Amino acid sequence: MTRSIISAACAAVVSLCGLTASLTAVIPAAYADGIEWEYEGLAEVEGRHFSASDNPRGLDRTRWSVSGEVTVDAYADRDNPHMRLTVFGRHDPFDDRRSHLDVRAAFVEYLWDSDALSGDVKVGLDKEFWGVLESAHLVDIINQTDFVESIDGEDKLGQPMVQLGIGSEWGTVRLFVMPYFRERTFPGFEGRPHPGITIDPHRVTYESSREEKHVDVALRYSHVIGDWDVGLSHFDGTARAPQIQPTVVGFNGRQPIIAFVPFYAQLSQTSLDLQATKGAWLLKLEALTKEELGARHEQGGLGFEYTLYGVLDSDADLGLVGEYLWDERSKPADNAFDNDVFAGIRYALNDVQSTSVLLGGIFDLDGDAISLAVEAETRLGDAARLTVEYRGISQVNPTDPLAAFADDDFLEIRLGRFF
Amino acid sequence: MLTRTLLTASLIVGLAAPVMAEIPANIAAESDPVAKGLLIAQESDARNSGYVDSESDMKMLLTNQHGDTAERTMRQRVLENPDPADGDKSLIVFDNPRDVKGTVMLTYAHHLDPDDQWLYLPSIKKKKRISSANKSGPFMGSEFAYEDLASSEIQKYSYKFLRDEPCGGAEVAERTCHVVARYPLYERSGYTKQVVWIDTVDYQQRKVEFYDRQDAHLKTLKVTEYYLINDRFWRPARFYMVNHKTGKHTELVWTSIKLGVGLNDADFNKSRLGSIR
Repeated sequence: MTRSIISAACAAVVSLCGLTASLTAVIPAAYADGIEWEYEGLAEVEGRHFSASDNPRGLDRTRWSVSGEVTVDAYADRDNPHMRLTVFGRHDPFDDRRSHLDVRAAFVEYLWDSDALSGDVKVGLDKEFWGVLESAHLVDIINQTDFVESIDGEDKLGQPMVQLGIGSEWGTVRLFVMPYFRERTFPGFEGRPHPGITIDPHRVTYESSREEKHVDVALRYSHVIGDWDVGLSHFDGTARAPQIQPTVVGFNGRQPIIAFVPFYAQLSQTSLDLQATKGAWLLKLEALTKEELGARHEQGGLGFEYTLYGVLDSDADLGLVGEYLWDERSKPADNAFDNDVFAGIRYALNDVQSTSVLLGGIFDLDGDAISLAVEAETRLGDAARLTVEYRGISQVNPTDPLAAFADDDFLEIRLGRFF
Repeated sequence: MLTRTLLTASLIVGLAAPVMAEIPANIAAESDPVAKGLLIAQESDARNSGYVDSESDMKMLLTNQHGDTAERTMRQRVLENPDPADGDKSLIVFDNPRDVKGTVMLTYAHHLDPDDQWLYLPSIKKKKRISSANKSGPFMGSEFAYEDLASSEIQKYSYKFLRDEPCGGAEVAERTCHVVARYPLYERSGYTKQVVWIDTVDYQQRKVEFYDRQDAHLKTLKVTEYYLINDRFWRPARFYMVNHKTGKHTELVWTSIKLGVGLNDADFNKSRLGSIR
């Protein structure tokens, strides 16, 4: 079982697994004298309780799983070049598809400087995050979402890439060439939270005839001008978000057998992310225009974060977050946040345990759904962390994309130990 | 033989110290307390400037009123700004506690404008510009506020010379200290003033008293175990901060300091935050 997961994960990234493996073999030989190794890890136990009274499929309401992540770093003299391998795995006895293994990072990186320019090159799998908003990650596009990990889209699969960065006083330009596509992970029939339909992972279809071997390209320019942080990006390649197509895959007598098959279109997306930092105010913007299957549309988000430091004569900070999310299309099937407001409060105690609570709600201005999330975390001792999370959706209209998750309100407790 | 040489050496140092203790003429001659306070700050700054860059390892030991302790370890890199009109660039890499390992805080200090500050969060690879308005909040739950650890550019304060008096403390008991009050000019400071003891030999800070917004004596910092690096720069190995209101204290120990290690602007570039070890 474990072996098949490993081989499946490795098959998915085989082209760069091989390349990185050979680089991993070559580079230590060249720098054999001064290699420094570092190891670290995190082991976490997760418990979830689903509160929905409406549970027609009779699925387990209380679930647990365990996960682990191990990182090995190797540094040559003056930390350059640097190699990293990060492997993540989860065992979930309640959902086979959530039991998975992923290479989050497996890269070699090299930096160089001259008087006017600085450069870096990275070959292998890694994560790259773009964007400024709290409630949605609109411009973030390099990595595929590891959807079985969390529905908030913050867990990502390692993306095979060659990345080249050139920095000067005029800003930084980064080129990403991505030779292999990673499919989104989806929960199995018994998985929760569940998008209502079970996606068949064995019948993926693509717009490109090169399928997962289509070479995706992205270019990003970023710069800091005083109080402004600016990012301008363009992506051309396979869309990370699939369209789910009901497909007849056979017949049971005269009854057609329908499977829900992910279809990955080709996407061309240009985006802007912007943050102005003015005292205790952060003002944020993410905007994009994208073309998929011959149709172009715009999407965006605008927001602020204001922090009150030392509230009520204590050491605690209270952050107020407000964001508006917009989609040019009305009620698109692939975006639940087409005319929505996010309101959130971040409370940080600034105590020795770095205790913090984030409470937020997304309100559909068309009255179709309210989704709530609470996340609290605190440190236990030196090397352990306790996280409590709640996610719930209420007052959802059956036509809203969030309706599928309406019966999946849950409370999650995680206890993690760092090594 | 070796013991004798060492003994002689220490005798010479012991004898030499009072000879070096000449207060610069411009400071000695100044009678206006405001001008004199500024001259002392400038002299101290001049003696600590010109190291170009530094790489340090530090350890913080937090102790609460019940005696419970917590430890933090960090590394700091600083690039001096050759332009006197602007502040230094610095970054702190966190090693411990483990949940924040690999987190980097990058700061471009300015004189009176708010500093530019970014946080790199390694778990999601996010480079986040953060507000530097949080001056008076505790740094990592310690008794050090962010402003206590920020680059102390001369222009961030106005000064007033109070008096000269014996420094006190075991290390500099023989020395005289200038006692200078400094008043934060930057916004959102948690202090009305700080009173600083600067010795008249090496012009280094030996003690600082912090007065809160109600002008009550909130905290005292003792700076000890100075040693000479590269034959020129005095650096303390130990900072000890006591909060008189809560009884909590934090000890900050520099376990290693290297000066002139050859850092450059690219090492302090936001775009490279993800590549910092």
